[in-house]
Amino acid sequence: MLFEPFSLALLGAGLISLYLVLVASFTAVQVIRYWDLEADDNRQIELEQRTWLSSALVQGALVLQMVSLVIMIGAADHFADLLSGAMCATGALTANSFGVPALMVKIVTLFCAAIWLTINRIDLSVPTYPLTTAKHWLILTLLPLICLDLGLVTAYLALLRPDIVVSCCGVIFAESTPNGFSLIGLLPTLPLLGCYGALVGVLIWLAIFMRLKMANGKTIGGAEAFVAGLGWPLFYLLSVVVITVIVSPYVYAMPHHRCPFDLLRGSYGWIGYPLYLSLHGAVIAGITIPVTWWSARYPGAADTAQRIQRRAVPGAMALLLVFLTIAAFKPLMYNILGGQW
Amino acid sequence: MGPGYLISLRRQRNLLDFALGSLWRARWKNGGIVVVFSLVIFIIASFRLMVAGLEQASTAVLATVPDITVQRLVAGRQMPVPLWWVEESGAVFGIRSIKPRVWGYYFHETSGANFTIIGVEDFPGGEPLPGVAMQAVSADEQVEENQFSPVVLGQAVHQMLALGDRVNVSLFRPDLTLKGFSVVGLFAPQTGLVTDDLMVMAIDDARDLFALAPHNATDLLISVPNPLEVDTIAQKLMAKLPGSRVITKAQIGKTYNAAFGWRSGFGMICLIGTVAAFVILAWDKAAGLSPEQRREVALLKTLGWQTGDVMAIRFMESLVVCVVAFLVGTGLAWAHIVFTDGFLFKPLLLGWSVLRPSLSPVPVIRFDDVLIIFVMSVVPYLAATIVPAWRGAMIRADATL
Repeated sequence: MLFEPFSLALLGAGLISLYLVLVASFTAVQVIRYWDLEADDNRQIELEQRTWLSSALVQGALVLQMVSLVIMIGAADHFADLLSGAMCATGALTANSFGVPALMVKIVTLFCAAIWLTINRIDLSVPTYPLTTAKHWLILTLLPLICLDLGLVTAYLALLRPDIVVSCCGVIFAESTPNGFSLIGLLPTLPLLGCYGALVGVLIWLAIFMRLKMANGKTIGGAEAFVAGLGWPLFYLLSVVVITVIVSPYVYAMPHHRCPFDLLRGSYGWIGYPLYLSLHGAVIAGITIPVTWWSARYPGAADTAQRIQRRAVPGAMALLLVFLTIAAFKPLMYNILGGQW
Repeated sequence: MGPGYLISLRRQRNLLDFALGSLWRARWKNGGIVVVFSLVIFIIASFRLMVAGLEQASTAVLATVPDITVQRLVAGRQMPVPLWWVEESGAVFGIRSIKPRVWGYYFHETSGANFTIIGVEDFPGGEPLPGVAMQAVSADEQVEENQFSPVVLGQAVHQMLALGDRVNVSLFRPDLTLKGFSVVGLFAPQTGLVTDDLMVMAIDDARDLFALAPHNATDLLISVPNPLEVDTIAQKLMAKLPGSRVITKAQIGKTYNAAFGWRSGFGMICLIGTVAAFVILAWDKAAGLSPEQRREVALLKTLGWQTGDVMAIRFMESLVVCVVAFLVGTGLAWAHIVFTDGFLFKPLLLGWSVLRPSLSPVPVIRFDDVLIIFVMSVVPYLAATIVPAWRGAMIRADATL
């Protein structure tokens, strides 16, 4: 279904991102090979000028990738109206084996974009550009990711056939299905919630600890950065599982309707938008902590890095609380008003 | 001074102020770009909004479609359904009602148009088409007086027959004898996509008009109260009635959407050439700096501006151009759909038949559509202006001044 307007928008966004990052990669190779701040020859001056271009290009590409993630979700939702058997975006994304990987690569790119933009901001704020080489290495790692994204999206769209019957989320996210076709299944609710609660507890405790440390004029240490770097991605993954398996059936008021995408539909009050925005915002703010800790070790970068940290820690907490409130609202209301206890 | 974000906000405001001033100084050049860009966005947006409106209107069609339609195929061709199929289908559990229907096309020589004739049971008592609004034009007593068969017309048919205030009309049977009808109602104009070419009458009258055998119908309309059972019942019917073609409502809806989506996608591919041409124009305009602009950049650099600041100005300029062109283009497209029924693209999306449904696409603006229009127009423009903006900002003050 390459001729669908949604497909064209997705492919257009992918191609333009690739063009931008590709042009930036040429600069990246030169910067990695020849960057020498001490030199004052023509090549260094030109390289310093060129880093502005590569920054602008990559910023553009990454913002475009974020937009394309939103289009991808919208497209999957729209394709559900065209594919036989699909009732929501889950069915459309699992219509062939490239849909879910394409979405995953887009989400990974989103987080990489956040990391790159943070490093770029710190780098540009220091007159000696301490992170320029690191930043350009990262551009070279972004390039295969963008290529992979475009490849997977193209394969997904090209192989999407409206006449092939696909499965719906009732089957895919069911607790256990006889044919074993299940993305998330056989997860006992209580241990899952227990793990999730413990992780949230650790993240909140960590945030308070770091806040107190910063209030006392100390800087964040490697151990805290490590825990944050491990904890927030894990929190993201577990949150998606918890939303799908535990939260979504309460929103739909149907025990067997487990879908992370229908939450974005108007018939459920667009609850998915604040839910996912706060989740992604919290995780992005959370992974900024290890990134800034790492950047702060470069000469001159500490000031900006710590200024970002001072905003990221409370920012992540505030968004986390917003997310948890939205996620818990429907299940709690159901259990309180529905007379379950 | 103030907190960090206030300074940053003030900086952005000053940059925007400078960018607006800069745009105004080159107003003829930028005005030209805005006009051309608005036109490009207008074309893309009209296309997209038109399709969105048609999708919306086609849901009105679905309201009239039964849960299951059963047809009969012989050697791959559609043939009349024998009425004993009604009893045969009745044995399947979960069916609320089975109604035979006769329908076909009637060629009206005077106007050269094809009318769609539908003959249904319970006519004129029940609703001629479920879910479709109708306005009565003559009282039942008048019909009885005339002793003609009652019929309900679509608005376009009513106009084509040039009936005016008259209620009686005659149509030819295949043997060229005349059959008289009295118009008892008209379908409401807003259901045009479905009803414009329709003449709905009693099933026996339709059989009489088409000279169809009394025990035959064109297809069977089956109503199923539980939507979850539709597919199962459809499968059972297919097994029970040899040579039948069973179509469900969901299949028809998906086909409509796929057809509209495909057509609009193809149209958009054709428009990519327009966007590409515009992007080249934008690149060219952004790359060709006048001597004044070069001097301006050199002066700014002397005053301590960095390459990044000049690029930020250029980005702001592009953004202002985009936003203005986007609003103008999309606004014009909306007006095109609302006030002219999308006359530019309607033939492409609806077909060319003589009695084309005179439909008014509902102008719906959805977030998805705006995003698609944005990605197809604004994003290529912004992407194309980055490199020229950087080149323009790289000017060395010593060399230029």
